[in-house]
Amino acid sequence: MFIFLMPIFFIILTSFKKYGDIVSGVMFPLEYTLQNFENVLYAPGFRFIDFIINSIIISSLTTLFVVLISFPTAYSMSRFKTGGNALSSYILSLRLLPPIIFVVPIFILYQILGLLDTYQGLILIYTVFNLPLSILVLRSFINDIPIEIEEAAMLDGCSRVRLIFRIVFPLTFSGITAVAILTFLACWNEYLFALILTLKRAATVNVAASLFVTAYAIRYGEIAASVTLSMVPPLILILLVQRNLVRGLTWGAIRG
Amino acid sequence: MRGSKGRIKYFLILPSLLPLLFLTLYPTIFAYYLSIHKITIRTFHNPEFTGVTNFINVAVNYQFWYSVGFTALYSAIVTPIEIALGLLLAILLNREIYGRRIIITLMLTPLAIAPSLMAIMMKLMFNEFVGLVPYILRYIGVNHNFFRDFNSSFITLIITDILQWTPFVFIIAYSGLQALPREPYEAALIDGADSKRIFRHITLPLLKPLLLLVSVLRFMDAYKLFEYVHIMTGGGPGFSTTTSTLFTYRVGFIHGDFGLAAATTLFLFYITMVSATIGLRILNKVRII
Repeated sequence: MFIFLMPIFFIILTSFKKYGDIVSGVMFPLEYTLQNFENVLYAPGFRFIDFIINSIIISSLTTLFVVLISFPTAYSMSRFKTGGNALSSYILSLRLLPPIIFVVPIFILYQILGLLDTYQGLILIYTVFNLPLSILVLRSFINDIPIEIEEAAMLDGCSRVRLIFRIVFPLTFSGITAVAILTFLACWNEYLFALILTLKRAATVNVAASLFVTAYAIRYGEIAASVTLSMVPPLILILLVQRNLVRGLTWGAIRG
Repeated sequence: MRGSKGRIKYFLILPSLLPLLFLTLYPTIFAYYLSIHKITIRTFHNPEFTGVTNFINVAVNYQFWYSVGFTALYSAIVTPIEIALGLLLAILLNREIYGRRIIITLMLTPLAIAPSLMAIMMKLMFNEFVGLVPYILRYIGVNHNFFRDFNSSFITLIITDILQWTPFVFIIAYSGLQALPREPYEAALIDGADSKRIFRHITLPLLKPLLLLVSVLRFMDAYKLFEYVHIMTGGGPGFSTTTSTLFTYRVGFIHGDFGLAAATTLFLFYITMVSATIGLRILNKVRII
């Protein structure tokens, strides 16, 4: 069981080790240091903190847009069966296809529009890519809300738009949390698009960490420290909200 | 009333449908345009029309077909192992054990970690100088470099995938087990069925839809493999662990041949479309979506 945690444990341990201990292959040294973290955070010309900020901005804004855009769609598909099975199959197939098949045309479009290496560029593509999953998950949560509540509100003269945002939205709160976490994690952890569509200004933290692997070559301590830093926010997030996660991971297939 | 309802339901899906349609249509159409031209970084602004040359170049490219086959083999190996291990862990934990909640929380952590970071970790884990695995192996007198030959690199990739994604299967199987109805079990116990038969005739059939969902998701996601090979093996040694995604990435962004990369993309689109359609069929049959 704990084999699954070995890599995480190993990398955190390595990030606190001294350079000499690492290269001489000492597994459990007697002394530990924060030097690796200092080197990573205050490296001249390659400020790791900037990449953390990039990741936070891109992931949070994407999450916001995904929730706002997918919620009305999920509502429409749940309550009016809009598009029926064809629409949900279409949406699902977008999630199953490998993203590489979209990369080349999008790269060239971004080149023309000047969106390469910008926040807007990444946020745009992440938003579109995260829509399918969140629509399907939210739809399953809305399916569970008894329709009588809405009928009562309609009788009281509540308009459809008001109904969606004032009544259904709060009732779906756990679903929205699940979708928000999944989207945030997906953006934070995404690699292919971030690698291709950014260079330096808008590069995300885990692209930066993998650049360290090439830039630092055998500075294992610094590599480990950058990995440790990049995985802290997602780990905190998943520990805080694990209850909502399961249903999101199963596309709403499991009623939690 | 009906009329306004009819309009509003389409109005509500527009904000997502338009971007999704754009995502489907634009790259597909543009990929066709790109693939019939010689378009590289140098000839970016005046591409030269080359007809089907790019398509032929992909169709006869041994490396392309090798990468398609390699990725399929990889997915076909990791998916069943992860399903079996995840299910086993879920069954073992589906009882009153001290500290169960903490174990489950810890099991979730690999899912929060970026595959690219996982790849860096595993690269260090298996590094011949500083890694934990060679360190342990040295104790039993084995000196082994994990990234020098195909078999070891392949096994390293598979282990990485299993470590990261078995928890995904586990958490789904576990929630599925928790949600199972009690009645069939009580009936079976009264009839005197042993635990082996209960598992085969009650648990497995009830879990089947979920296990199918996880299998489809795992297989399709494993096929997207990029991070592990890009960071850990670089597609090597030689060309041996190059996946379809890495191959396309190389053609387009290392060699800068966008026309050829677009043609590769279209080939991949049709190949993966076949498996995606089969996957959708399966999910539709068990009424998951």
